[in-house]
Amino acid sequence: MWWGFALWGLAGAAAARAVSCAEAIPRVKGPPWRWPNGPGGGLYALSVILHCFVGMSVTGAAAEQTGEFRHALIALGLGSAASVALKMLSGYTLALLPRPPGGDSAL
Amino acid sequence: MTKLGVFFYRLLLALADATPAFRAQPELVSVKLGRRFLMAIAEASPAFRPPPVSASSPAEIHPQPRLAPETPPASDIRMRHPGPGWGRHLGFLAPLSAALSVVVITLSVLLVSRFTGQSLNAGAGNPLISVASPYAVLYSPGSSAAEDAVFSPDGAALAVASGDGSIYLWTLATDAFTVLADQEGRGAPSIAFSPNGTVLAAGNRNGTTYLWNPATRKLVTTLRCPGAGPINAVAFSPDGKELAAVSKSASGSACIWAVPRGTRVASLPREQTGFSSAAFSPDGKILAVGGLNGVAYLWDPATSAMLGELRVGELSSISSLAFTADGTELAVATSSNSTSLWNIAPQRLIAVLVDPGRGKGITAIAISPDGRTLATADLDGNAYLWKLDTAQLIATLSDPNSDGITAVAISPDGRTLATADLNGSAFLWNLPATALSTPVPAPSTRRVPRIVSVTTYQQGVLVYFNIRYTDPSHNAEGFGFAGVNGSGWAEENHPFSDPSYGIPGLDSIAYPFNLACGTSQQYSSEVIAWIYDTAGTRSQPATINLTCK
Repeated sequence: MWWGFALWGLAGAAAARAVSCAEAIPRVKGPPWRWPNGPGGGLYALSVILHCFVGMSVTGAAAEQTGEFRHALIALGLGSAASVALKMLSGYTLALLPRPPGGDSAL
Repeated sequence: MTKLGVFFYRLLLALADATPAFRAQPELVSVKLGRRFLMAIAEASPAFRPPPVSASSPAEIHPQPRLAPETPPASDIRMRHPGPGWGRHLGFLAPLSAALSVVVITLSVLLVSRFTGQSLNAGAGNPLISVASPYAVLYSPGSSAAEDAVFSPDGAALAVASGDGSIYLWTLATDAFTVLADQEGRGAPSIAFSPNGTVLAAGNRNGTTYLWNPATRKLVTTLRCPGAGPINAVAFSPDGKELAAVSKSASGSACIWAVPRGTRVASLPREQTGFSSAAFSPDGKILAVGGLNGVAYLWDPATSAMLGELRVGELSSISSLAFTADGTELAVATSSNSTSLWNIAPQRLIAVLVDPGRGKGITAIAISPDGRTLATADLDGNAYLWKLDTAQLIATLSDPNSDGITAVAISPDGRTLATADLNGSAFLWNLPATALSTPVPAPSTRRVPRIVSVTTYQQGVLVYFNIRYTDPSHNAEGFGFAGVNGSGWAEENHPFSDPSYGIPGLDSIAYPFNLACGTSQQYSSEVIAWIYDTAGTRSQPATINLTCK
């Protein structure tokens, strides 16, 4: 039942996003997605969907390839890890790009 | 920068949590949240002040942000200070956001648990793969132990025989059940559906076998084997025309009836032992009966002739039998906690699967329809899944009631396993994908039959080709041929079991062609011929010139 583990991966990615959001709320004293403090509501929602999709896909594929996991907790962790990996990869990609004149907030 | 470029740039910012709101990721989340939480408490309670955080405290030892550090724009700096809106509620935001994340995580886990039927700790301790907790529980209203469980041939229903004589017929789509009950209430240790699902046979402790119509819940007829004690097992032949019932009486008794008429067609020879289990081979040519003396008897049901004896255990009785789908092997479970796998022809022991439980004895076994997976169940309360080709244990399923499992069955589609226990409950389990996978034999291990010689000979107007072949993997299934170079013979393929005009021999096949030899119309022909295996793979073809001598 690889899809069951894929759902656990989705839950893991969602949990990682929830923690990230919870961390940001006190810092900005408001909705962290609001531009220019955050990326904007639509883009933030899209990024959450992409994070969850990646967590689900990676976990589902791993479950299918390995003949399922011994523990659903592993799937949960893999989903979170996939989300964190996506975040890091995006950060590295961003670092390679030229910064827009005036900084990110000027976009 | 184009609009699309701006979109992707901002999307990258969002994915990387690189906007000012999310840019503090190098700080440990737990430290951050904990400090915020303490600060919120401090604000709420003037009597309490957290110690000032020194530069050397762990909370301040942050690695540098991964993204290029630069002075944030004025707008970014401005946003880090309490604003007029949410900023008023700074004391609540930290615990509120922490609570939000806890709620999201908890909801995610609960939703996925409910949707998949898996608990978060599912699979802990299983040998290789996880099998979730059962996705359905069928609680029989009676308090008696379940004694047997079988799926209907269409997989839509599960029949559970109870020790009080009731048979609960569960419709799996609705979780609703109907009850078939014998009048004497002495329990049905064994039940079996006919292959077309129109008859449900129940062997009873009173020595009678009841035939029910599961659709109408009406008793069709009762069958009684002379001299039989409590009926321990019933089994339908694959064509559904015969029913075997075996008894545990000391003198041993096994009868075969024609169904649904109920005419007794055979009584198997008495073996001075009681019988515990019975199974027909898939081709119906062998009836295997397990003895309480540890011997599995193989009989020809048509002639009652003994075909062989498999001496499984001297000090144990046989508890269950099951043929593999191709009928070449027989799994025999014993009360001594092992299941042995036997080749039927020639009769030899292939493997012994030792139950990893505490040794209370195996009660039931079942083989998946594809013949690749064996399920065993024991009185320790565990069911085990084994790969038959490697005799490898692949999964453990533990009875949620921690009671001994008395019956195990696999659905006709091979996707669901049912167990029934001493508590009277039945559980349905999704079989793991690994157990269901159908591995394709590696090319290096599967060897195709090979033609080694071809000869021809004439008989009357006919010319035969005679092909000799090697079959290293013992999987040659049939032969085929087709005309070539202008010969008009259309392609034909015939299994060795039904070779048309062919004459199969030991690793050889002869086939005639009418070339009108000896007449004025005699002619020559040329064909190619091949041997194919069970997977349909053909050998290298041989070209054969067919000419009259």
